[in-house]
Amino acid sequence: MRALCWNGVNDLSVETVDDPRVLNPHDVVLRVRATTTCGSDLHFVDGYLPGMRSGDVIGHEFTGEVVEVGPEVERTRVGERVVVPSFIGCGECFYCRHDMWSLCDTTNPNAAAQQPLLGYPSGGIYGYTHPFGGYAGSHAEYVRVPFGDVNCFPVPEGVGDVAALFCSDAVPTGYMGADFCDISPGDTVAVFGAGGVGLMAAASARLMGAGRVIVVDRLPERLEAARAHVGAETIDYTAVDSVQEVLRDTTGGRGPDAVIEAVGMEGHGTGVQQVVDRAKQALRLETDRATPLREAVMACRKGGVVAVLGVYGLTDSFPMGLVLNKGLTLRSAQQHGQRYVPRLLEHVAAGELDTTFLATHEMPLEDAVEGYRIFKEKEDGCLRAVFRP
Amino acid sequence: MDVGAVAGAAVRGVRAAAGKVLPGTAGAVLGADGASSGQQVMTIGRPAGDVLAACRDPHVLSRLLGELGGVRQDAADGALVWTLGGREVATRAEEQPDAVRHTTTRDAEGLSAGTVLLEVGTAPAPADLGTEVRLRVRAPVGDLAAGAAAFTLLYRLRALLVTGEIPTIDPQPAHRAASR
Repeated sequence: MRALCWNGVNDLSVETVDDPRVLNPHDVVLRVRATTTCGSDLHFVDGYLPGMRSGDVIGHEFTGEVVEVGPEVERTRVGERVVVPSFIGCGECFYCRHDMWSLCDTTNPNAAAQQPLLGYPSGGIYGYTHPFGGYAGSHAEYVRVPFGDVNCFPVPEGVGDVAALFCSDAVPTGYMGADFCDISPGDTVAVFGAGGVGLMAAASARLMGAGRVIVVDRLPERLEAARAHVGAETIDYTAVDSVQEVLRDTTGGRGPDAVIEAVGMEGHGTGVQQVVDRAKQALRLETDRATPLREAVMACRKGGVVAVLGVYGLTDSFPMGLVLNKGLTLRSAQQHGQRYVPRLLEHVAAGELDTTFLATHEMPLEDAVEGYRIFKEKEDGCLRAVFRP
Repeated sequence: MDVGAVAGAAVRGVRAAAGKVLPGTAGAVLGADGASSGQQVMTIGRPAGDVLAACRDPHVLSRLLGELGGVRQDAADGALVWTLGGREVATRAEEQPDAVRHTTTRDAEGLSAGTVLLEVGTAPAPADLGTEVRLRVRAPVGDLAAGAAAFTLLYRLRALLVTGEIPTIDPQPAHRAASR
């Protein structure tokens, strides 16, 4: 089959690789119908996230049609159109049974490689480094899905591939961030980052009853998307002296009730600390440019919630004193998609949640290298590039 | 300069540092026979009897070892014969109510007779979480590798008992075979 492979830092190519097949009795194989870029992919494309190997098939956000099921798969049927969360759950371990699916205790074949860093390994994920499992990714014609019965969610009639596609990762990640915020009706929620996850976090906060949603970014087309598709207010952080002051001013001096950080380790920003981060990252003295994370902590009101959705490595210069003295609650996780996907598909089917505007660029898989270039450079207003194998 | 002493000190330093961050190395001991021990503990949501039965079964033990080796039962004397890195090691199972030990029956390369090759101990976990399983492996490899091996064996054991399968990407790793 054809697949998009990582060959080294900023070196991708579409190649012919072996087809996947059922390896374990609960496996399912899908023919991929749509698969999309994710900002977190850029961390290993750019070389900031270790653990990739030459030839890795990348991609972790996808929808597809079931073409093969293992002998112990009971509910998932050949021919079904399904969407699959990016983290792989087993449905049986302590964490899956407690709805914390990305923390699954059994689905990481390379758990021993991850344990030295995390102490307690996460679940596996498609196409996202070998410490995270080494599973082949979804930017391919076919993909193997372990534990098909708990990881494949049938797409309702009337919901298109692209609308369903983002229920694989961007929507459940954003929705989880809003869920973390324990939003009460009328709350003000600020969202740092207007990529796919940030926009879906903002839309989710709206769904959960937030009175005001304020999105912070620097790219005009993304801020426009936040206004037009989510109904959010926006702040261009490059056009103001201080995002914190603007947020404090516009909330009567209280600050947002919750802040969702949806940027991650390659965050942009202004000020001296951003320059210091860039220098340290370039010298490999730290892995993260954490300006948005620090800003989120500083901007949130006392006693509020900061939900961290961006992917980080080892962040230094973290203002822990502010977390303590402001009494903040810090919540974070890789997405527990299986917890949310069914209700998200219902929201999409009911027309309550629009995801399709994220797909600014659609192209054949053969053009995926160019798709990643456009996505990385944020060229032509690109929010997400969607590949059709 | 005593290069040997410097090198020895460096190795000890690295080992000590690694012991602080790598799995199973904190309690690792390099024995007089050159073998190392790695120890890990995990909670498995199954009864102790299931855990111990699995750890006596050569077929299950082979599945847990995977690419690390295999186990078969000798038809003549009932001993378990482990194939580890091209070596064969024979063991006898010693069973206690809450543990099973696989002890070598004769000298093998890097392991003297009477060595506990694999020891699995169990204790009830609180709050109906199942069983706390402590696995100790002794092998003629570095202690870092022994610690990682102990972790891998336990992780696979838990996966098998909880889900009925062991997670794998073989023979379909994401990457090219040449980069493995």
